Amino acid sequence: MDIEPRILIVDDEENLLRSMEKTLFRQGFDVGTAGGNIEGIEAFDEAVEDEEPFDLVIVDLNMPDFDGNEQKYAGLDLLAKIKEDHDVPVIVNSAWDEVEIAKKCIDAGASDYFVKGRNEEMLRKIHTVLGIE
Amino acid sequence: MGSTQTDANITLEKALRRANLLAAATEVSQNISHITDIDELLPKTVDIICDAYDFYYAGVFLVDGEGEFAVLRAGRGEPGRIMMENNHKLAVGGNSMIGAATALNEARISLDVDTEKVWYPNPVLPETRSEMALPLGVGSKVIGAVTVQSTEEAAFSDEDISSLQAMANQLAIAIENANQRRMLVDAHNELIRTKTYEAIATATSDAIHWIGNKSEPIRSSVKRIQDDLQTLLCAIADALVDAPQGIKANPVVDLLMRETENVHQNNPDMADMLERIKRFSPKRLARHLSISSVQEDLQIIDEAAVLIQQIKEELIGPAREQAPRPAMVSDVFQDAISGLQLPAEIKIETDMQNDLPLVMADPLQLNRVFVNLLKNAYEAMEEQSSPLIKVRTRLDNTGHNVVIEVEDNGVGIEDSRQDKIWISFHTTKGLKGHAGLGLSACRLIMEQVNGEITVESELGTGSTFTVKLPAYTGKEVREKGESGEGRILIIDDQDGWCQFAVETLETHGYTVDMCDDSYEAEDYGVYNLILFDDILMNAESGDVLERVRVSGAINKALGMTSNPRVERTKDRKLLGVFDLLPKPYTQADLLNNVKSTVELFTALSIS
Repeated sequence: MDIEPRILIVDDEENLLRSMEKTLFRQGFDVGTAGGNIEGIEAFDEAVEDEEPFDLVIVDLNMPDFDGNEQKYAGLDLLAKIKEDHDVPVIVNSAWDEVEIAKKCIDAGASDYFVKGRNEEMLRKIHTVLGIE
Repeated sequence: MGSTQTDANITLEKALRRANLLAAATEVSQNISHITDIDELLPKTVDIICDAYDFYYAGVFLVDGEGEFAVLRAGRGEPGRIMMENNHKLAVGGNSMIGAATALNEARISLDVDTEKVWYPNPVLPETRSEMALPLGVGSKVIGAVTVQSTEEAAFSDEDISSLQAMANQLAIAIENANQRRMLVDAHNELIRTKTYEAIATATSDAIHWIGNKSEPIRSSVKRIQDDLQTLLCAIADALVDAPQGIKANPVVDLLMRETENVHQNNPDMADMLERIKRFSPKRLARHLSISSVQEDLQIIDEAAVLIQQIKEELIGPAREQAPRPAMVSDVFQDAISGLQLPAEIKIETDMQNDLPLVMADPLQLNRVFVNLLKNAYEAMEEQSSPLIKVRTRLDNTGHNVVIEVEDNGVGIEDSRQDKIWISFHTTKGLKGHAGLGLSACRLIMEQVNGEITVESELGTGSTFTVKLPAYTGKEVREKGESGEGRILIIDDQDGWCQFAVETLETHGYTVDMCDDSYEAEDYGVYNLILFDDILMNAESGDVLERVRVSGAINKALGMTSNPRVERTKDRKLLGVFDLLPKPYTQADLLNNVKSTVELFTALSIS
């Protein structure tokens, strides 16, 4: 890889965020992190301005929304906001083990849905989404 | 002659009246003896008394806990309702007839209320002309009194008293029985509450104990790994101190040296430690600086994490709210077998009747029960050279329950352990096994749908788990459901559900084609709807659907599953199927799903 693909992870669970960051960093990705929607969109827009846009965003669902309040589907709000102007793949990584929530996320345009604790396949999916062999 | 005639008439009249009263007394006692709920018994009794004896009013008073007041507990008609609303009560031993009857355990009669001294007119019962109060006695104890009132003067004779008192005695026994029954029910409920609390408390303390045991090694291992890494690093750096400059210039060695400085700064004892290590015998040194020990500690952490993750998975199941609906046991079981994919050497013989009634249960939870039973059977047969699971479904002798039996030829369960297997966190499988929640979850799930799960087992021979579920009786619901039109392809095995789906759709206006044995069809494009079972016996539905996707018809595919799971659902959605729904088992549900989808496709011009 000449240029490291850039991934933004947005999650309010600090240890989980840091752990994912380390895993993806070791895999050779350039990783950005944010703890909620406000920080998330700031980081995303900043990267666009710096002409180093993120190639993929991984969002949690239940986290602080754009008003800073914890909300069950905050991640989907962030997904919608990003998708307004950018054609960037967004993967949802959530603790909700619920079929209807998974459907809702795919219908909203998520590239995939993973349940925390059962997301061993995510790395493979990231490669597929980013077109990395 | 005339007077004889009159006497005879009077005698006859008296006899008739007496016979009527006795008949009424019998009717009252017959009608009340089977009522066991006191709140139902008392209002019915006053109605029966008034109707049988043609009285103006009847009311039942019961003495309160302190024996102070006789409280009106039921009264006939509107007057009764008003007095009940006003909490009408009379002092025991007070001036009222009820007061006297309850205090003295004696009947009281007032033949003409206008001349009675201890009679107070009751504004809600203005037409009362004569009244009788009958004590309700059980042995020597008075539990209350009945008042009966007539619009006629001198309505009661001495003979009436004995007839009515007999009736009152019957009523007293019925009330006492109802009271005792209520006390028994209360005691039983209290016992259940206590037991439930005990069970929760036990399960909680077991869970705390279990999590404590499983999580304790994590921190010890982490601490060891931290120490080991630092010691290893410093020992290597220490050994390199006298290395030639060329080696020291190596970027890896350079990085190592700099990292080591940090460790030494944060850990002043490290230098001493290194001095000691140098003097160790090679054997002792190997114990202190061991890469394999670090790997082993990491393994311990990983195993603990897996177990703790697993307990979340196992707890979430029964905790999830059940959504009972009519379900086809054979289909749910077959899907559990197909979905579990036990190793090929495990032979599974199924004897499932397709014409069994449906049961009322959440298919997702039933699946969980069946998967647990299959897993247990599998694990019990690890030492068995020809492992065999037999699954049978049948109707029980009463015809009201569907029975599912899962038999294995595994190690069996010794008698003394058979009742312990249902207890949470009880497991014989040690680390390799699970948290010991499987069977307790099965039992919980069964209790919630009024089902049963039992075991018969012989050590060395095998075990048979039997699940019994009440048959679903709501036939009328199955018959409703609207007809529609369109051509439908069904991708499924030739099983009970498939047969049901084909029959249902064909009799409701649809043209139905079945896929071939390799789950394929010639031209997917000609169908208005492609209905697929997401759990297939001989293929992964994702692979089957890939062919539909290539043909360009994937957006017409509607999936049905007895076991909706996040991973499968999102994979189907990502493949482009229209939707994946909980599998319907009633005609109404199937037709509604199909009709609304076909209509939506038409509206969206998907064809």
